[in-house]
Amino acid sequence: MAQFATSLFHFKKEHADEAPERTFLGFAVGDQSYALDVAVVREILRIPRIYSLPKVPAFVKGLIDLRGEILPLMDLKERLGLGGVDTKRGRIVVMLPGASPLGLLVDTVLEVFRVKAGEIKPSPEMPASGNLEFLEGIVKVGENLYMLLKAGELLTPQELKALVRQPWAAGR
Amino acid sequence: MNKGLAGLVAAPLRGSIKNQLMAMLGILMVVGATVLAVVFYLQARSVSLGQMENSYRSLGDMVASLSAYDIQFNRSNLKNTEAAMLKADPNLLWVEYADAKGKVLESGGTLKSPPTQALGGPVQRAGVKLVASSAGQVLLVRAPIVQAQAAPASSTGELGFEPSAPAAPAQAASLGELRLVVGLAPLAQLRRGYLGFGLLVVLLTLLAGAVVSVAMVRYLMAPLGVLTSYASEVAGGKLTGFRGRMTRQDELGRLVTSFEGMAGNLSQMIRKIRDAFRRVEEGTQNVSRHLNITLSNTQNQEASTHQVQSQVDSIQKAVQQVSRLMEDLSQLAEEVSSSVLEMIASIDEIATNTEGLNDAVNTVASTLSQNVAGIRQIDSSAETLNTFVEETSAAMNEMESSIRQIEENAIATRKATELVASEALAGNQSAQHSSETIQKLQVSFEATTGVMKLLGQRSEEVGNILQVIDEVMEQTHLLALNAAIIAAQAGEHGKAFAVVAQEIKELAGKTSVSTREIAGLIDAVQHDVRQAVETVNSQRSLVDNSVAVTNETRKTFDRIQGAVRTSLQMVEEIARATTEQAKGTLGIVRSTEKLRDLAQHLRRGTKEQSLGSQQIIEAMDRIRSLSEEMKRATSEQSAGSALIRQAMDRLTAAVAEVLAQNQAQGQAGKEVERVMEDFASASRSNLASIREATGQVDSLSQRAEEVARVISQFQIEE
Repeated sequence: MAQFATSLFHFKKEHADEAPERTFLGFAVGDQSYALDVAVVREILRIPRIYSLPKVPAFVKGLIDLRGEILPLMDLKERLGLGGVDTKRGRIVVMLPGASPLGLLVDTVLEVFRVKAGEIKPSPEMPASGNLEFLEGIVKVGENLYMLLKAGELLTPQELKALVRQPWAAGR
Repeated sequence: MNKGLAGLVAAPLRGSIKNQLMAMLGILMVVGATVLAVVFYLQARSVSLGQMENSYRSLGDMVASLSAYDIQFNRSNLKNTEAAMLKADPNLLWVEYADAKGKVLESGGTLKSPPTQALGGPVQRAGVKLVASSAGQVLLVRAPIVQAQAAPASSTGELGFEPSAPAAPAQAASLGELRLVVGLAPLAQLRRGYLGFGLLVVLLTLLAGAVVSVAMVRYLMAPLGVLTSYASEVAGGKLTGFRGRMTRQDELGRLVTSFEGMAGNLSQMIRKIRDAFRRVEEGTQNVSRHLNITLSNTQNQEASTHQVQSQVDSIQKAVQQVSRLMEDLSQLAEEVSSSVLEMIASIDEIATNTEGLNDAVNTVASTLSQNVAGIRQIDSSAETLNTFVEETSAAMNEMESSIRQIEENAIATRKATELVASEALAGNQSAQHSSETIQKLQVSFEATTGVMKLLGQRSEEVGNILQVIDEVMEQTHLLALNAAIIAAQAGEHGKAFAVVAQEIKELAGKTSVSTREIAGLIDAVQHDVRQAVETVNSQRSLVDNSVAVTNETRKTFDRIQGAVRTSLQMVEEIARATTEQAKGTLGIVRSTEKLRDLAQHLRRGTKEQSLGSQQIIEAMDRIRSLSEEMKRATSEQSAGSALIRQAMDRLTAAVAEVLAQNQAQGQAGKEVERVMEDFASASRSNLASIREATGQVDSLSQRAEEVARVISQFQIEE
């Protein structure tokens, strides 16, 4: 209880020096840490039954039924070329990048953290970093170096369109 | 004489090393003193003569050089010199001067005939010589008188004292020579003095040697005395109190110290031996006690073996009785079977006769109006039928009595078999009784294993509960994260809630860690339990072995029981078959009675034949219907007979089986008997070996007591 009170106190103190802050949800894929702005995150799930789909790229694991709502499930690890997530242990981050929700399959969910806008560093410019467009920036929190994902750019427009064109999306 | 003397000398030497050493040192001292005296004498003699010679040679040379002037220019003074010399030294017996040509210039002394007369010219160098004279042996000293710096004179051809040095060139011209004759009286005096001194030295040496010898021998012999006293004490059995009687560091001192150490070690060793023997005694008593227990156990075993044997014997007897009864039964069954066969034949005859009757009735019916004589035939046929029926009835009665006998025999067999069963049960119980102790042990092992397994199950259950807790924690973690997201999305208002969510998440994490630790502990517990179960199982195999041996005996009894049970079943089947047979016989009797009635009816009918053809026709119709009925009855009877026959066959088979079972039982009984015989002989040999072992243990115990008594004679440090 005392500890709780202390942390509440700290929270209020932090809150006192008003700087624009953003809140992120950090998770791990392989040995890398990524984060998404909580604004686009709806919730975190354990992996339910996955209904696989025919003729889709490997990173599209299939569909899941979230309380009657049918969502496509994307394996972030597969998408990043790090191999597939173990579907017995992984977690699903349900995100809302645009109009329709999307399940993102990750290895573990780490924490919810706040950072000041100034602490976010731009993603490194590298000759071969053409594929790093989906990164918004990099931030270090404690031991972890989080790569901040741009929720809307995880998929190329073509891929997104291809997914939306799937029959399951037709009803929406 | 010589030998006696040697013995007299040797006797005191033989008993004591001290005396031997003393004698040895004495001899050494005497020999040394003698050698010293001789050396002294010889030395004294040679040294004093040499000294005298040297001193007189020097004197001669000195006086000769002093006289060189006188002999050239003042010869008269020579006389004075001579007189002075003679006066100064009383040892000088003669002094004379000679010129270069050997002519005596001056001479004087106490000698009457000096030994110088024969001498020639002067010598080149001074010399001394021992010569004989009228006054005994004297020293002759010749000293040349020469002129210094003068040209060397030719001196060759002269008589010289030293012919070995003639080559030495004379440096000075020879003027003459001085001759001195010296008496040897002072020499004798000197010699006496020397000898006296020598004697004194020898005596002193002897005295000092004796004192030193005695001291040395005493010093050397002291440890030997101590050792002698130690040895005599050890010989008397005393092994204590050897400490610090001698503190010397030499070989003998070390010998004494090591002897003390040896005595201490010996004492320790004897104490150890005594303790070991005490333990041996205790062990022997233990062994003896255990042997006694084993002996009584073996005797019990033997007694129970006898009991089992007697029970087996009684079983055997009962089995034989059953066998006899079964044989009787078999014979009876065969008899009954033959009776039944006879009966069946009779029934078949009845059937054919009935058939014939039927035909006849039909014939009569068709030809009645014309043929009345047929009625007679019918009458005779009815009569024959009647006699057959009577015969059948008699056979049936006989059969009934046979069946009753079978029933009685079956009951007797059953009783005997039940006796066997009860005996076998008793045998089994006594075998069970002997294995009860082992089974109890087994049960306790089972219980231990069960408790351990239960413990393992409990820990597994706890593990399952932990899994549930872990899952709940994971869920909580997830919920906390979701709450944090929602709080973050709620903005400012949700921040306090976010803190709560964080707290919950941390709590979940801590609980998860604790759960994992508990799971590890449970794994360890399960591992320990498995190990314990393995240990118990390895011990259980021993018990299982014992159980297997006792089970073997029990199985044999069980086989007997099984055989007896089969016998009982067979006997019961016989009883059932007999009952069925009786029932069938009853049916036959009923049919026969009906048949008899019919025959009587028939006879009555034929008698009433004369009443009219219409009546006859009616009667014939009735006869026909009756004969149909009879046919039916006969076939019924035939079926009953077949039933009887089947029952008889089954009976016979059952009897044969019982006989076979009985034989098997007899064999099993013999096997048991043999096993029990082996068991008994093993028990007897066990008993004999235990008695032998007891005897050996007793003799071992006696030996141990003897050793203990011997050890107790030693005085040792405790």
